[in-house]
Amino acid sequence: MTQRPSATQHLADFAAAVQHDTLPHKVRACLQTLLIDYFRVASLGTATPWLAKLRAGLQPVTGPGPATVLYSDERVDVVRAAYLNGVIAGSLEWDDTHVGAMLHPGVTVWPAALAVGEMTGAAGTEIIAAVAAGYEVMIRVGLSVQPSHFRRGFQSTATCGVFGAAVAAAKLLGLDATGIRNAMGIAGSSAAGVTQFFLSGSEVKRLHAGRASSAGVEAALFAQAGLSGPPDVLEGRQGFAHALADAFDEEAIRAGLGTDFHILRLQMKAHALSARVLAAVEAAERLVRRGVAPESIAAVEIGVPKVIMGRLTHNAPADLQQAQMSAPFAVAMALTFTAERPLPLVIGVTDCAMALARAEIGALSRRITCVVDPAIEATSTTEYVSARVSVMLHDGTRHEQVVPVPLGAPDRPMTTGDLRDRFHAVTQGRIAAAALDAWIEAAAHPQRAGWGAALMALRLREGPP
Amino acid sequence: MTATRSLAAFAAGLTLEALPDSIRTLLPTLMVDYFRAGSIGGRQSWVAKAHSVLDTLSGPRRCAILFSGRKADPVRAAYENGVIAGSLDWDDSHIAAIIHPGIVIWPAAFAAAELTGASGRRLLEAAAAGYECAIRIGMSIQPDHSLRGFQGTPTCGVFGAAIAAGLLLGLDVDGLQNVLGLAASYASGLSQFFISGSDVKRLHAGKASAAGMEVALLAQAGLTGPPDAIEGAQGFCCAASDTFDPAIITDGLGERFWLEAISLKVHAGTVRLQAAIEAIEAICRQDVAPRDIARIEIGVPRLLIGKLTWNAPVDQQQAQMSAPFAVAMTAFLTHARPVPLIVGIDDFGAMVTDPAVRDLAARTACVFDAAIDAAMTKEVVPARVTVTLRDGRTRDQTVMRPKGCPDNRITGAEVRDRYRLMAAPLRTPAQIESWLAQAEAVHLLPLAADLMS
Repeated sequence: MTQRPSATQHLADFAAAVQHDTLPHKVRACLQTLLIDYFRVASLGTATPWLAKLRAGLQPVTGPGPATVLYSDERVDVVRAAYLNGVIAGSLEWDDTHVGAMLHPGVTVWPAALAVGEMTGAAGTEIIAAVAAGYEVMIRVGLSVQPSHFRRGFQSTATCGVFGAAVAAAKLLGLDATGIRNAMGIAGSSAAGVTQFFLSGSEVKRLHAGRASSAGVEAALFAQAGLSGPPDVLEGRQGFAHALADAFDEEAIRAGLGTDFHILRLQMKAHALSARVLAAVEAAERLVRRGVAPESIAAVEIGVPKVIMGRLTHNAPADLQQAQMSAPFAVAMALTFTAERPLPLVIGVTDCAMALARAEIGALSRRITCVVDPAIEATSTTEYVSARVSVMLHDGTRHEQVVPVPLGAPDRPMTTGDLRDRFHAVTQGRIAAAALDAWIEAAAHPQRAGWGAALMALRLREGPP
Repeated sequence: MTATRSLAAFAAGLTLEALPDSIRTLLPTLMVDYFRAGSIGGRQSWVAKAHSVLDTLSGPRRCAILFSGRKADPVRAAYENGVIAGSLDWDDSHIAAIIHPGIVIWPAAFAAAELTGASGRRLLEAAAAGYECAIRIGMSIQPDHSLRGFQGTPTCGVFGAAIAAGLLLGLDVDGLQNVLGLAASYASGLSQFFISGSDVKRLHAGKASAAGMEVALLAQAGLTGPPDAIEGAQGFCCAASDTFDPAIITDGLGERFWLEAISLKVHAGTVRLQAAIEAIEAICRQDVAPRDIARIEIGVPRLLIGKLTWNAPVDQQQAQMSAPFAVAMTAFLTHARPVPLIVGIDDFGAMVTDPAVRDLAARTACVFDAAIDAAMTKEVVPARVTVTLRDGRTRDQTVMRPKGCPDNRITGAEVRDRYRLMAAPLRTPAQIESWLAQAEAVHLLPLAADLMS
């Protein structure tokens, strides 16, 4: 009997073998939408206060180099480019999400791949293949350790992200399966990121995706230079899973690898909020459209699954980061904004910041409680979180709305048209519509020469997002 | 006060005068020993590989790389210097915290001092604060943290490096609290290398030192971290360990210095096998040659079993972590070397593939020894070595306090002698003496950076 390769080796072998032309058509089409959405969210992240601080902090330790900082003419070393571009896109809570793996792969994998691809002059098809491999490895590593990894206090975009970024970068550096495995082995020692921000706020989560992306690139460069990592970094008894989780499901890594692509099971977010609160937002929106007036509400109950209790259920967020991670606050915003605005409801980062300054939204949020609801638990899956929102009005009547599957979940996907439209919507006045259409058309053709450079050439006019 | 806040306040308030005499004396000795390790690290193959990556990434080059004449940006300099000095398993060790603090703290402290033009006094204060923070965080979660699969040097070391760098950047207590909050999301490093080898541990100290320097810069730029990132329910200690005693962090902080319990290593291997090396050396100095030995038994405490007891190392890194291999190798080296024996990093590299050494290592076994286990403390790991000769006779040697442990210190003079010996290929005798004189009076140096030139 031949011994089957270790889980780490299995992922490295898979990653080495991924090629653009042999990817299933659906996966290639999915990558197109993910790419557009990565640039869409990044277009909103170039003027945040935390990015300005990060740039100032990193300025003395950033080298000139081959990699473009998104939407700018600045080119820096690949490690810093991955960091900055990971933060530009990955600090808004508006990114693609794998609910079961509890991570945001795009904001970690794309920055690594695009930076290294720019350095090596990789063909677009090579970049797409590297990204496909990075997404799949990152999601599967996450699935293999969740949910105990999250419960311990680790944020898996930051921790599992290093593997996705390392794999994508290693592929673009031309490493073979052994080299990719070494990159993963080295990256394992950079798997860091805790979730204390859920409880006490701060800006650190804004950095998580970028830090992981840069650490993955760095690990791949070390592997390219000939340094090795443990060949069994994931599954070894002193390895990643044992150290950072209480249970390890190796089959989550192996099952269907190469034929079944988890990248097809991502949730695209309608709002700049945790993916796990989006069904509740939609339920609140529908209640208002059914005629519930926010000022008539005495109390609200949100039915949620157990896993989000304690983390996403604080109803008095201390800062913007917490506001974006609070189901009650999200529902309070949805109830208020739906009543005030024309269709469709979109809650962005600036809306959250504005809402924090409005006393009545805070007051409404404090009248909202989360309870574990067995029916909601039962309909929630590894792909999405369901929600029930029940409002009790001052006149004693009660209205209820259940949203089993939020918009953007794999079972209720946004169309490519939807995703284009919202890229146009968020860049209105900052990118000419014709230029954006041309960019989207170019993005769809990775076979063309100069694809990566053309992607990075997109620019924004000055002005608020 | 919470643990995170307490550490920040302790660091912000630390002055050289308030330190116990013993700590004030110890700090320059630890610093010289860091440079001593640095003087031999530069020629290792993995350093060249790490350098090839870090050098191309560097931003403005304002910080020196040890013994090279080269410079890099502060983060990349901290990284490379951490790899140069911290990849040899020949560094200071804190047994209870299970970390090597110096190789993470000094590179970041020097990089920050070079960046800001800090004095020698500020450097020592920053390093003292960094050591104490890293050690206390380590002690609060060990040994479970190690048993889970984390290596404490990078995971806990990053907090020490961050505090040292943050102090030298001039951050106040709030800034230092943010430094710790950010560092918690950079705290990483696995110990799978114990089991399957590889080069990754060579990078650990440098990576953590660079991360400490980086988060200090980010906090200086105004980024915030959770104020309770160390002790919070979703913070570093709970995430990375199943046992956590916050009182170990806060009790006696500023009065009692756990830094006092630091060890220096005579030999380039884990601190936990120094006693075993000393024991076999003593046996072989009597009348035993390797060819006479039928088998060797090493009596060890329970904590070592499974981690440092593998007797067929796959590479140089594992050889340095293998009590049986180190003991077998020492049996061969003792007669070929002057007294006192120094087992160096190059010995492990040269002998890891030697068939005779590997054969003896295969006949060397670690066993749990209740008396040794009982004698182990937070400061020292003793060992018993029993050699059975081919004629059936046995030789037995127990070493309770190996040279270098807090009760049997390598003195400042001995550290300076080691520096003279190891830096000799790189520096003239006059340069060495003039540098040692500066290092002895580091607290009087207007510019700490002068030590890096």
